[in-house]
Amino acid sequence: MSATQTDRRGPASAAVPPIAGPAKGKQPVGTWPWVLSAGIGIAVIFSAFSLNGVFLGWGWLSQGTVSVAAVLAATAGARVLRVPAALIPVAGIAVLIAILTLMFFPGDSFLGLVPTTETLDALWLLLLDANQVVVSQVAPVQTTPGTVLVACVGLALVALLIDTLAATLQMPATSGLGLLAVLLVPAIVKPSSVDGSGYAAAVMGYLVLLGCAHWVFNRSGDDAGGYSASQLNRAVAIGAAGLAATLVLPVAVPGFTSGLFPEGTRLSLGTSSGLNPMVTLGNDLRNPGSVGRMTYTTTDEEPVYLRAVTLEDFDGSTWEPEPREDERVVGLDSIGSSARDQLRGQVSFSTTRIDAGDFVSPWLPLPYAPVEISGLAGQWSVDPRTLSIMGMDQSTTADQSYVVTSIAPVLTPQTLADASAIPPDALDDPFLGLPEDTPDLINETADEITAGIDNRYRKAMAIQNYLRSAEFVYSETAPVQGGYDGSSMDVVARFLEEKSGYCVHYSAAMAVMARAEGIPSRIAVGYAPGTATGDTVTNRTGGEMPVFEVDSDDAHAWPELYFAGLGWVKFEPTTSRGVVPDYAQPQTEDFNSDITPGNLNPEAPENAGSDDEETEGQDQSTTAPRTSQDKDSNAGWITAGVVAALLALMAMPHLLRRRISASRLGAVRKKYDDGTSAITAWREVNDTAMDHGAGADPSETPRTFTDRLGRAGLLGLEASKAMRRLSRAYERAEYGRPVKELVPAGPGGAAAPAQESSGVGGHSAFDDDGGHGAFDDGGHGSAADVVLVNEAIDRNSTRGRRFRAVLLPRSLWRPWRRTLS
Amino acid sequence: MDSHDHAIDPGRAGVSGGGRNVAKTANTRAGFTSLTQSPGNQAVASNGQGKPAGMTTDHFHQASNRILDVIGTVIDGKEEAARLSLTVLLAQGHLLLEDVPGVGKTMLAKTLARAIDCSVSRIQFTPDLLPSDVTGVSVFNQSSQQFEFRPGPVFANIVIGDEINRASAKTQSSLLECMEEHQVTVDGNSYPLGEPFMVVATQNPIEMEGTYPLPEAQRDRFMARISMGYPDTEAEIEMLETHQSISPLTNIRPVVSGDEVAAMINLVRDVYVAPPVKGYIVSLGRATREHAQLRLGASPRALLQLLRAAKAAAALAGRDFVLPDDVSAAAPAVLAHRLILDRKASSAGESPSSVIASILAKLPVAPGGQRAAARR
Repeated sequence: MSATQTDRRGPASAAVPPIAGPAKGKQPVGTWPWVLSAGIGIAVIFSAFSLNGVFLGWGWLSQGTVSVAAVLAATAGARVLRVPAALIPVAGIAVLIAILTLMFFPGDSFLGLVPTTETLDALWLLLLDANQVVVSQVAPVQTTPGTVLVACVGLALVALLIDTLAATLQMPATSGLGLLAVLLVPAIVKPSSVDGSGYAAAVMGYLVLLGCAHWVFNRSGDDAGGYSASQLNRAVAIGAAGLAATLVLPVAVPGFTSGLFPEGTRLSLGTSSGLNPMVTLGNDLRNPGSVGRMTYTTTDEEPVYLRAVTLEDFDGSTWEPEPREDERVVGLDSIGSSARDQLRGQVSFSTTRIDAGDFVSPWLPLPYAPVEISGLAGQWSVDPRTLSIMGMDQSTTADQSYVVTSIAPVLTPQTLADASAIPPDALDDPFLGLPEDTPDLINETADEITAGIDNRYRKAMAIQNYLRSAEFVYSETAPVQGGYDGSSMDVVARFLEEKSGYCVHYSAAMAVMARAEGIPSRIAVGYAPGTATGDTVTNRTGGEMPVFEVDSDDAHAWPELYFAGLGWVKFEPTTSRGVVPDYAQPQTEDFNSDITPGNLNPEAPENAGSDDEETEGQDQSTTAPRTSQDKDSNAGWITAGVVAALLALMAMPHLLRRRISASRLGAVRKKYDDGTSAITAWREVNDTAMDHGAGADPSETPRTFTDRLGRAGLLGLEASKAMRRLSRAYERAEYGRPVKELVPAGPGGAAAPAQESSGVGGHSAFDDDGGHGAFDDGGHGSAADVVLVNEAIDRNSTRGRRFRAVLLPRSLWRPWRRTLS
Repeated sequence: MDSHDHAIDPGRAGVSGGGRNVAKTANTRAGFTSLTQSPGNQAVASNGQGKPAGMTTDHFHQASNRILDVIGTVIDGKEEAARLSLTVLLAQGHLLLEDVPGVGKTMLAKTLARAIDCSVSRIQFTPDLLPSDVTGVSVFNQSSQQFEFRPGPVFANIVIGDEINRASAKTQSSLLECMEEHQVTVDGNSYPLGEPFMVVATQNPIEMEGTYPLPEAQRDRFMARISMGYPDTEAEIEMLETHQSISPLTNIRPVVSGDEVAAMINLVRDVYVAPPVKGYIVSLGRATREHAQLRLGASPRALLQLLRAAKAAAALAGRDFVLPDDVSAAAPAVLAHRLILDRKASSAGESPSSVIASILAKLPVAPGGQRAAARR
């Protein structure tokens, strides 16, 4: 009997192309996997554009694109071949391994594609290389094979993740998470965060991806007529609102002081090994948090600079302190003689007690020049030439507490000017030489500044005054944005052009120009004097000594210039940082007059420590070091921001659910002919019930579900009727004869279906379908009914369930559950 | 009550023509049958004949209500049983009524038969009933000097087999061919049966002595098995009141013609079954086959019959498409008598009905939104 039935229907159904849904299983998959993969690839690569600046140049892009493309082609191919969904990522990873092997280890593998043990060895080398770069370089890092490999793997895995989200789970909107992961890298690494163009590129990529996904998942034929104008308007409005939110929010929310969204959430990646303080210095300064707090008290009248290491080799693309392992002297006994050797004439001694606390570095910070150190644990070695002290055998400063006795010449402009007459003897090349490729600009600038000055001290003062002049603007971010962060000859030249940078640039510029003028120089890296905590310590003689604290915000670099008989003398070319020593005060014309304490010079050092806030207040600084009060209020703002963000995050599910609900109601009002309106209406009601903990069990039919809701008292009288109408409309749409099948039934059979569809719907004779109202509008669910039922369910639920429905609408999780099951 | 209308001599083969001339009805039906039965021109026939019948859903509804009303006047408080029996008739299945004596099994069968203007015959099954007593026999006609076939009581539109489990297995199996293939083969000649054709059999479950339990194969041929159950108090008082003097059967006049029934059956055939519903039926069948407490699950034929019953139920409910609810409502009656419990389960007090109920409670309804998924 059923055989004859299908026979009879054969020609009719053959005339109509089958509806896309059920036919999926049998027909060829078509091109959609390729389209979706292309969209994903574009999104990932566009997002990756903002990695420029993390890496130097664009060398990584081609290989990254190839990796992403290969992985996505593999997943698309797997979909075309109907590989089970769980195996698709496996295929992607297999292809990724093959393509990486081909690109990076063609010689060390089998046929260039299959990795072998040799490949693993080569891989290990590359990873070491990448690790080296990460540890030793500051962004932008150079594109070595290792870093490119890491970038390729990262991008390809993100592409795979997005592919799984967008294609397998059919949740393309959530794939923004993957793109956000890509953006997070520059957001964390680049001090300027993601710039506008990178952000725009990522957004464009995301839109392309969403567009592709929309096309793929809506391709099912029935609405081939394209999208209505209202849909377009809505899309544009939502997009504009989103863009406005991302641009306005950073301004409105405190803490997002510059850059775009992710910057306010920048994470501290912890401290690197500290072997190259030049690398960490800029990051420490830019990092909004402060780490590595040290405290010290000193018998010196002024708070002291804590010097960790010096930099004297100006060769190469990145300046690094030279450990000079072979020249180091193990143990600290010889330190006194080395320091004293360089000094003639009047000297002063001071004693400083330093608590390193949680500051961790292999380099020991101490006031120059140390003659005696006590209280140190572990093995330490000293470089006799620079007096930098480095831990051996993993000895670090962590939790160390030590006392340093320092010796310093008594310096006045007069003694310095006198010392300038003596040629710098006993010093060799490292402190004097400049590399061959020193840009002319540096030499020219130096000559220009010091024109007509023959005294070396006055030359140095001229250079310092030039750098402290209003022409130069202190900025921790400008070099990064300008792409000349770091330290090298080129960077110094760029700094002199741009006239904006921070201590590394000022000190490097001064040191290099000093050498250009024949003054031996080196860059000292360490910490500026810091701020007084307000505590005091009683010393042996009963005097009160203030306690100072130093943390990563005080990281500093300054030039040291050599004067015969006086040793290394520090200068302070960086405006707004540190304290300018007496002898380096600008107006040094009158060598013979002492500088009076009442000097009106705004940069005159007060008796720092006693009133150091005032000093900073007088500074013309744009970014004065923060006082603790500042920090407190900042913490308040940050807390408020975090709370606001948390609240916004908590509101997300509710807003999302509301949005879904609204769009469904819109679809219901459209009254599509193919019954999707009724199905959408039913789905919405179902989800509302699920949100309130009364979701339909899989074994429940629409009727039993409706009955159960009624019995549970979730529906009032009116809502019960509405629910009945909705469930009847849904049944007709879901289980009834498809609309399309009715139309081409031919002249002979036309009468029967037409009569059936109108007959069942319209005739009151049928007791079963009591709610005929549902069919008055042709069997679409009505939006009013949906609203009625939704409100009734919400009204009649317990308080706890209502609360949960608002906070965590369970229906949002359903797609996941369906996929998992 | 069972047999006060047609007294059967228990000593011999109890065959009675239901007060009608069996030969005559067989002849009239034969003409009708030849038109609809040949598979070749089935489509033409049903179209050409279904049209004039003019059966709209409206008419269908009225006709089915008339039948149910009539049954209601005879058997009080058993709407569900009445509805199921009508469902089986419209689905072209056979009905097995199983219950203790005296609850109205035969009454229901006879009322249904009488409400329809078609031929009815009744066979009282006894241990000495022979197959030829059911199917008919070829006798030698002295005048024509030829064997001619005398149709048995099975040549009727509705055949009531009373106490079917009292007959021997041989006789029972003679019904097999009739029920499944709607034809009788005697002496190598096949004689088609009338259309509609429905066997309504009754049997007593507890009367074990002198009974031959129906073999599984034969039970499988019945579309549904219904237990009548005792009427509730009010219905029983009502019954005592109305039935005390005169049998209500005597007042019954046919309310539906045979042609109308045929048209109704045609309309049931056209009820639409969506793919998810078919999937639901299949997964229900698989669940019974894989169920730990069942030794024998539902056969493919059982699922086919379940589908037909669901279609008829949908039509009776006024729909031109089947819902999963129709399937789950029909499932206990259609499946329970075909399932064989595991020995442990039966000793644990389970019954096939309870197993089906537990399966239905867990079985996911066809995943909705196949079409909805297209637009999201």
